[in-house]
Amino acid sequence: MTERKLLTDAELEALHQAFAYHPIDEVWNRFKRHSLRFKASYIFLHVYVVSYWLIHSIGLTQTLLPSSLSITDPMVKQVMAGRLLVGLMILTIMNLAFYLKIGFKTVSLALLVSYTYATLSMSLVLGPLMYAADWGLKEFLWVGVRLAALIAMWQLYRSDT
Amino acid sequence: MSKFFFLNSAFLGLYLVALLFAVSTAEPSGVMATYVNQLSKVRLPLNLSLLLWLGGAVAMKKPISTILVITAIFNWILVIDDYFVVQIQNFTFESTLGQVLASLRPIVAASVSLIAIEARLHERGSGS
Repeated sequence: MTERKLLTDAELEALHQAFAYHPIDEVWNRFKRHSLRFKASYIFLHVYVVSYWLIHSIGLTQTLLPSSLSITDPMVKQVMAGRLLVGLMILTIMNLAFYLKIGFKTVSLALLVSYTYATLSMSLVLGPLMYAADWGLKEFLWVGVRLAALIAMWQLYRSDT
Repeated sequence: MSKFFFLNSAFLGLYLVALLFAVSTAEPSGVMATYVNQLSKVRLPLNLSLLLWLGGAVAMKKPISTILVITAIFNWILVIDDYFVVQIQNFTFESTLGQVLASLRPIVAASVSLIAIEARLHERGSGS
């Protein structure tokens, strides 16, 4: 007989909570009790991913991207759409995890890993182009927003939720 | 740790060796060249860094389950990226080994996940 527990008491309680009904006011109050850093990161990520997706879906992504990156290639458009959809899915699961009070840390880690990978993967293509290009306000803003998104994801991962 | 853990570890080790061999001998063209470039310059270095981190943790007798969970998440994200974003199922591979390695991608992610779960349960049981 092993004495290892498949689930800890905290996880068992979380599972129990998962099947309990949480009034939205209670969830909202829980959100409000978090630090300003957590709230700002959480809201920023939602605004960032959702607005990025909306702009991409109406075909205006080029207005956001650095001038050196032209997305006329259908493959690039497909990869961007796919990765944005993955981001939206992870964000939805994150909201569910926050509501159910279970697995929030794992989901935020998934978002962080996914975004880091997407950034590194894109840098391989974009790096040489941007290195040779003239840097304007748009380029600095684009890099700044991506960095802010990474920091926001790290903040959510580090939180006690 | 169970035999299953070591079986999975052996499978992953074999997969990694085969992948390194396939990448070093490949002479791809077109979309495959871009894919292999991504594979050798982003994915493999990231996976090898995780492996190095894991090796360090094992050597220093530190908990390994968190590293394995990160690796499992990373590999599932790669599987989603491969099949839903890049759609490698539509690629024409130039070698049978490449085709086999590509089709084993979900099995690799599942294998890492199983190892991660077992390591977590083991660490929980031993109180570390």
